[in-house]
Amino acid sequence: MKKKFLLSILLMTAFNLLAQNRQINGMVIEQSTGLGMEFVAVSIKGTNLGTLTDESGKFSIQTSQSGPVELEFSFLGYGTKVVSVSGTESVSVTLEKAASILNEVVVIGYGTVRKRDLTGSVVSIKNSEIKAIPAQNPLESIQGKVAGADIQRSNGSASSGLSITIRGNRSIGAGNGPLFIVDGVQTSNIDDINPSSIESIEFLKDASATAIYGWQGANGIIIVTTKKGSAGKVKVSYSSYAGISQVSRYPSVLDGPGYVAIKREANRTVGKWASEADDSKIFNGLELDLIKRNQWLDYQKLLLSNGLQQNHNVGVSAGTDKTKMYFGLDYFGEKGILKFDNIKRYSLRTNIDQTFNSWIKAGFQSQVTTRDESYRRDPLNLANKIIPLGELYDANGDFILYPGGGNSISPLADEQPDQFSNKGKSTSLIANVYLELKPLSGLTFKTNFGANIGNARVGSFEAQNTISRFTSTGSLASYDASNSRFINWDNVATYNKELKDHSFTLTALSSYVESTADNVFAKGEGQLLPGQLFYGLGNAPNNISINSGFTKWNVLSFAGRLNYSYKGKYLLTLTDRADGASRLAKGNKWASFPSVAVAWRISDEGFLANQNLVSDLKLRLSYGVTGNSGIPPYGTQSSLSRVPLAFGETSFLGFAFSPTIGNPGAGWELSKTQNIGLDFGLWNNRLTAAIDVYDTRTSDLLLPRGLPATTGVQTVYQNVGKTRNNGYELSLSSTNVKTKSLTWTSTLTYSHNKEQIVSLVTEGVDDIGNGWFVGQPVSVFYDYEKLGIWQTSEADEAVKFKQVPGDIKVRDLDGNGAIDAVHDRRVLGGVNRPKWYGGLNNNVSYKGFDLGVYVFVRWGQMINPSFLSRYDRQSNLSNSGTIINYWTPENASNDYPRPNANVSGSSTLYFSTLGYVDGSYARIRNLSLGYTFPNLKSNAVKNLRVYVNGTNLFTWTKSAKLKEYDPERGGGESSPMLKTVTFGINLGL
Amino acid sequence: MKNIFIIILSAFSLFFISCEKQLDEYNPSGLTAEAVYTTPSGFDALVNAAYGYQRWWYGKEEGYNISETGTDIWTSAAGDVWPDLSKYANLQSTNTALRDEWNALYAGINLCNAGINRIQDAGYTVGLRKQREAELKFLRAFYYWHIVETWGGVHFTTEETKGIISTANKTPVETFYNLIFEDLQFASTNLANTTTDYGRVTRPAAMAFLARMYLTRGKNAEANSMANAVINGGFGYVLQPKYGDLFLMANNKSKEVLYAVNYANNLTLNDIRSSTFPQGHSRGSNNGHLHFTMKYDDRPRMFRITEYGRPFNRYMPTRALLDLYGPADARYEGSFQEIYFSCTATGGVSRPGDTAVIATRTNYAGTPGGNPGGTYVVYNRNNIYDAASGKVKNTLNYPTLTKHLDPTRLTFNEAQSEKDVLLSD
Repeated sequence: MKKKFLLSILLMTAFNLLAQNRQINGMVIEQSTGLGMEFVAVSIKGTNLGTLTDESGKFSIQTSQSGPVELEFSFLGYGTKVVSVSGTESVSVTLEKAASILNEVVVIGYGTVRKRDLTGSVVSIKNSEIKAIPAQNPLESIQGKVAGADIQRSNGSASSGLSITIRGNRSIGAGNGPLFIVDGVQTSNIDDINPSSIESIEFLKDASATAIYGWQGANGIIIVTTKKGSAGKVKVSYSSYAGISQVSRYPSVLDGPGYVAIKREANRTVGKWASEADDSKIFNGLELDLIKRNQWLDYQKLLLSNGLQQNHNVGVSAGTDKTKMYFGLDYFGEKGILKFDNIKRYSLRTNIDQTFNSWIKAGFQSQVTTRDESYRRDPLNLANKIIPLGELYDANGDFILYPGGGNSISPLADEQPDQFSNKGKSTSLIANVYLELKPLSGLTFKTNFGANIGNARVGSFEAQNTISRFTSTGSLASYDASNSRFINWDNVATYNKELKDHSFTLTALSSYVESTADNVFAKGEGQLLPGQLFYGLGNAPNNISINSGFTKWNVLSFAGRLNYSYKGKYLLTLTDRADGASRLAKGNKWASFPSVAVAWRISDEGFLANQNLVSDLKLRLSYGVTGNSGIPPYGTQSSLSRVPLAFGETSFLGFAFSPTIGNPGAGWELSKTQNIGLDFGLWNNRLTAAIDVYDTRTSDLLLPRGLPATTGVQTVYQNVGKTRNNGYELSLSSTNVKTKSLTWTSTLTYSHNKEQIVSLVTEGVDDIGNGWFVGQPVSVFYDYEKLGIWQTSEADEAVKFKQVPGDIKVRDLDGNGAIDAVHDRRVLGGVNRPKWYGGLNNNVSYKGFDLGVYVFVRWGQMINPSFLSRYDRQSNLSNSGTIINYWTPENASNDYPRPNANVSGSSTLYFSTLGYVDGSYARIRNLSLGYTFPNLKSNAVKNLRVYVNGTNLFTWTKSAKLKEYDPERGGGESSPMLKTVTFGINLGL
Repeated sequence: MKNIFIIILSAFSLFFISCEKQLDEYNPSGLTAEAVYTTPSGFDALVNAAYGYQRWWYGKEEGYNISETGTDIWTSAAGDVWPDLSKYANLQSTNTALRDEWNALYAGINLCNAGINRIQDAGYTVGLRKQREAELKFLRAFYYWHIVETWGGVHFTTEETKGIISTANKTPVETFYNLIFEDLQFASTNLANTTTDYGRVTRPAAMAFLARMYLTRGKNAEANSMANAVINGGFGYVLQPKYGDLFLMANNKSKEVLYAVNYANNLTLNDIRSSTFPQGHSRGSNNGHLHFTMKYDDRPRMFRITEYGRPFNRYMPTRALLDLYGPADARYEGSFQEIYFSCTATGGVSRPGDTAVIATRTNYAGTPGGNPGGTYVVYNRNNIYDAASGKVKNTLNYPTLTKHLDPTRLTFNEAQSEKDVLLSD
């Protein structure tokens, strides 16, 4: 065909003089199928002229240009091809799947594989997606984009972390967090890794993918690969953003008049108040005066202000054929919405790869991060509880510590000069060096030595008149310093061999990880000068206490893997790994974790050769065993703990048994996962999808089993019990519109997981004390079922339950005419796990503009947010929320019981039932608009994009009760969640 | 080249073979019973720790709620957090006060059992061994007495828990008391008469407790002779001249005290839960001053002050209790406070004699014009209790039990008090 093509070019040259307003006809053929390709964009380079091919792949295009013209053919996934045409002859062009998605290399455990050859369930996220949402933590940027990964921000404080679980919770006692691997080095989190320096993040979900990590594979693996340098000209990128954040949604509390009304009602209930004339019986003199002046404080408003975020990042990539390097310098700063809540993070990344000769290569990757953090002791809990009547300053302009003459210190007390400081400094180094040898053809030996070294300290000072200390005596200063060192040494040998249609890759590896950590903690009370903060503990006269500790654990592992492919169509992966963990009991330290996976590339079969619909189709099946040893180090040993004790004023040493007893038989927790997956691409991969169905059965749970207290001890880690997680995941990507100037792409993810306890200590028996129920998820709400409030008309019925109208009415489950904790509580319908969650991301780009809208949905989880129970029935110590629609004889509410000056919330029967609510929500997680400057003439600036980005701007909740609450929190209220608008610039030099 | 490769490979495998031993755990900051309880000073630490569990009951809300309320003398006030326990309203085994005490008492029993069974390995001299064994036996008897009187014939053992034990037994009450008598007879024979360690048990204290146990079991003659042995034993006990003085902070360690649960002025030596003592109590030290105080600080011309205490207003006396004291009984005045003087926000009684609140067991209705500083609020017996039935009407204002108050706390909201809890006085 090439010859024909050359010939036609020659012929065309001969005729080119004849061409005036000429028409060029031709056809585009897809290389693998030999069929015509539809919708290929054809244009004449340097002009606006363009067309698309028809269903048989044919096109025609007209031009007035004489002489040779350059035709440009482009199609998504096939790249661009330019063909020079001299005459009017028919052009035949063959397009080949460019280094298409399928040939993309995906990082898997201890190696890489082409996406087409994957047998496991792996999701790969590239840098562009991570950078699309500006965030401190890279995982926050990809929330909802990975099917099966449930990512939630823990709270809105500047230093807050994220929680992530992959495919639900399997373990009750041994932890459910995934393992992170950064450039081959294990780490416990990736907060410190600056998002700009990440090349890709891979999520390994099924056993075929994770079994190679054996002992830590059960909860999924997240592999982060940082950027490498590239040969050629030096590339410099600069990116920067700055943004303003605000509280996204926050529940309000009663204002002054609202509080006065509820307190009057509470006293009316007990006959102490009938009219305003009785106010003096229930309010103190100061309060009466404040009521008269309508003087009250909105503490939320006084405490919360706008937050600021900014990030600056410079990346330099350079190199020659043999030496490649990447440097990145990053600064992230955030000032939270509360005073004293802020963070500054500086990080420096250096990655160097050096090729010495044809068989030796070495390099290192490193990142140093240093953080300055300040943590605010949450004042909002107090701000929401304190009686709102009061003033900030007295007549002399002095700050009033106890507003309204009340008993509670002002929520603003910590903000007064020299009262409060809680600051952390930490530095961490994550670095690894590797040496790669290729002594024989097909054989690679790589040794990778990594370390994660950290030191951190937190110093805290709280004066007497602060929120934490006002119920104690004197100031408290403390200093907590810790050192940690984690090393990870992997040796991996890989051997590739192709024999005709058979292709093998054999991997053998050994791995050793070791963690040591120690810390020292000191505190003292009552220091003379508050200005010394936590830098003069020696000057604290009272209650001095010191402690230090040490922890070490290690794991030794050996593993092997065979990847076999027959004709590129039939794929097999066999893995086995043996791990020995120090923290498990002697004799149970070792376990082996085998897995097997097969995949069939159906689209490569002959019977799918002559069609245009299915461009990719692969079926994957896997089964494997992974482990979890996540009990604390020394968890198998019985230990003693110190009991502080004095006779008279003299300190005496006391040592008693710890409540957790050692178990010399504790062994591995095992998860067996089956996974069926189907990957397909339609219409030349304009639509690609992956569907996975899985079933994980976890046995030998390392359960913190409760022992009868009569033994004098309380818990023991024992291998008992089983859980099951099964579900399905779908991710879909499509290119909805693709023209020369307009592109619209969508990505949809959907995950459903059912989590349940299969058995506990005794088959079929629930553990009510711990709240564990067979057939239910690990964490459920077990309580009475609230029906409403006893109404006036039901007074006679209420009496039978020793209740009166205005009290909480719960269901008498066993119908015996009395309510008791054993027979009338049950696992409430909703569970606090979502029925499903997912995301829909739409990106539209038109010329230089790009618009991204990302919607995230989490549906079906029940939550118990504390503000729904913020109700002081007595209203004498605390304020209540505005949501509290309390019952009165005139207001037949079914939401909240009647205020009552004689009964506190904690002595109200069934008070715990008030807060349960459906926490389902949908939110526009991200909305961004950007503009990329086209055809930059400057030699200096290669590309330039500016954008504005909004996160969490719009949220809908299913329950109207949550209209003032950010449901992502799932219950808490300290450090409210934020909505943020940022402006950013990305510059390439 | 191949040789190099083989050398490298074998070097690595050698490393890993030697690594195998590294899977043994190294735990220098942890302590084990085998290492600690086999030396005299280490065993002392066991005995000392065994006293610690008393603090879970004495000076704590859980203990007051279980032992005082739900009787005909004490009942719920407005701030009561366990009305189920105080009023037997929907009381379940899930009640946290009962659960916490159950846990603490059996943990104490386990430690005493461990000590009594391990003492031969402690390396003590004969004399000290008897003293320490007697202390442990006293404490075991003391804890079992709390268990058997609260729950009846429940789990009983004299063995230390070793390994995973998932069953409990039911044991007749008689078995408990047999052990209690046996242990106390040993203790009251072998303990030293006095101690310089205030709070450590002494022989007369064990004897007094034994006398009480005799009385409990109806062995009146034995009780009588044992009580007389304490009174006439020449141990140097002297009664306070005034009943109320016994509860003054200055008399914390007076000659009237036979046995007390000690709380130190240095609060780190007490039992508050912290990073260094995670098994501690959430409030720590003596909290008795919080629970019996009426809600005075929201009354006109009143503020919360250290002297009057931090009013948790958990429990209030029944009318029956107040009426048990005759009109001239000095013990009533020594125990209850009826009058509050006005005070200021900066702390302290502003004008002694300027009455602001009266909560009285009498029918006093107030003296109009008799109060030059302004009017004062009166809650008399019929305001507090229903005149006919005696049922409580006002759960916020009532005569306050003062014997637990601690005006020496440094700030008015300080929850921890160093006041010792007098068990036998």
